[in-house]
Amino acid sequence: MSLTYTTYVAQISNIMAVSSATTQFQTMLPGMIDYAEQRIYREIDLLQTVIVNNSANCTTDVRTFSLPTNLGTFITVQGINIATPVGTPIDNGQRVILQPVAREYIDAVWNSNINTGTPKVFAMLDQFTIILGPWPNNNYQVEVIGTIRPTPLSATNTTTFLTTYLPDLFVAASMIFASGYQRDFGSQADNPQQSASWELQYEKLFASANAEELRKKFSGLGWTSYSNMPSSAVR
Amino acid sequence: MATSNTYTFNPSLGEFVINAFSRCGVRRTEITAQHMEDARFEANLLMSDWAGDGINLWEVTNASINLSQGQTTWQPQSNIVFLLDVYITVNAIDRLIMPISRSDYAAIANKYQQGYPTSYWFDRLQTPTVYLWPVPDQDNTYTLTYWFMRQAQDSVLAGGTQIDVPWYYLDAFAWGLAARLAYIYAPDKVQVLQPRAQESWLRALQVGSENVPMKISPQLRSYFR
Repeated sequence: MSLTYTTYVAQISNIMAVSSATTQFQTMLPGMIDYAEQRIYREIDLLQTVIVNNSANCTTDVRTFSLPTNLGTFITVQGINIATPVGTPIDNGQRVILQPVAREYIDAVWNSNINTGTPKVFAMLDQFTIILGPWPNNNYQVEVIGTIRPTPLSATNTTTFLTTYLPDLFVAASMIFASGYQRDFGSQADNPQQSASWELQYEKLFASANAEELRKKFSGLGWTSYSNMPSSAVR
Repeated sequence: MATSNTYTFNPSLGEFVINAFSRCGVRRTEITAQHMEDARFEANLLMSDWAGDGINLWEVTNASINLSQGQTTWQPQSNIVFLLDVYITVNAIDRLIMPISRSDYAAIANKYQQGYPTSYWFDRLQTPTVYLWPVPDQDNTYTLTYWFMRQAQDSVLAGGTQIDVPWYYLDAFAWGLAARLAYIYAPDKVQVLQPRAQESWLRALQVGSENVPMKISPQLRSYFR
C-alpha cells in the first residue's frame, strides 16, 4: 500500500513506539527521510529518476557546455545527443549520439577551435559541465539524458515515487536511521539488534526492488522485462 | 532495399585509437594522456613497419628533373622509401634506365664518362643520392623521371586528422594498432590480436597490388653483395 507524508510519519512513529509530536522526533524526521531517499536513489538506478532535458544549446566555438538545471540537477549523465541541422528541433532533425570519452582524448584530438564541426564525443569536465569534441561550429540544440534527485518527501511534497511504489523499502531504510535516533546500535542499548535487523530487512527488500528495476530496463537475468525464466538446455 | 549511397567512412586517427583500445579492453572513458601519446607513437611506427613490407601503391608517386651535362648525381625527395622505375626522356621519347648495385658502380672504371645515361645506383643514405652512368653529355636535353614510394604521412591526432591509408587498408590498420597497443596495455590479448593483425594485413595486400601478369625472365650475369 502506498504512503503519503502523513501516513509515512504515522507508520514510522508506530514502529518506533514514539510519538511523532515530540520535538525530538520532528527534528529527526527530515534527516531520516534524507537518509532513506539518498541511500535508495544511490543504490537503485531507478528509471523514475531519469529525465530528458533538451532546453539548452551549445555555443559556437565554445567546447564547454553547462548541463541544464531547470528540470533538476543532473547526478549522472547517461547520454547526450546533438540536433542537426542546426536550428531544427531535435525531434524534427537528426540526432547525433555523442560518445563518452576521457577528457584527455578530447584534449589530444580536438585540442583547439581551429577544427570545429558537429560534436561527436563528450567528456565530463566536472559535475555540472561537459566538454565537446570537435568544438561546435554552430549553436546546436543539446539533449541531455541522465538521473536527477527527485524532490524530497515533505509536508508540502506529500508523495514521491518511493512512497508510492516502494513504501516497504522506504520504511525499512528509514528505520535504520531511526534506530540510531533511538540509540539502538550498541550492546548497552535497549534493543541492540534493532538496527541490524532493519538493515537485514532493507537488504532483502533492496534485492527484490533492484531485480524489478533491472527488469524494467530489459536487463534482468532473463534479458527481458519478465521474471527470471528457465534457460533452454539447447541454445 | 535502402542503402546509404554514401562512401564517406574515413575515420580519424582519434577514432582508430578508441577502436584499438576497445579491442584491448580499455574503455574510451579510461583513456589517459599517456594512452593517447602511446597510440600516436605506435600508429607512426605501424606505418613505418608497413613501408618495409612491399610497395604500398597509394604512396607511389613520381617526379622529374632536368639533367645537365656532366651531372653525376641527383638527390630525390628526402621522404623516398623505394626508387621504383626511372626513365630518361629525350625528344619526347622515354627510355628506361636500369639500377645497378654499389659494387657495379664501383667497378665502373670511368665514372665521369659522358653519354646517354643507361644506369643508376641508388645510394640509400640518410639523404638519398642517385648516381648516373654514363653522365649526361651535351648532345641532348635529358629529362629524368622517377617513380618512387614515399614515406607515409605522419599520423596526427590533433584536429581529428585522418590517416594516410586507403579505405581497403583501414581494417588492417585497426588490427595492427590494436595489436601494438596490446603489447603495452593488454599483454594477455597479444596472442589474439597479433595473428589477426597479420591476417588482416595479408588480406589488404591482396587488394593493394597491381592486378597484372607477372613475367620472369632469367638474366645471366654476376651478382654482388
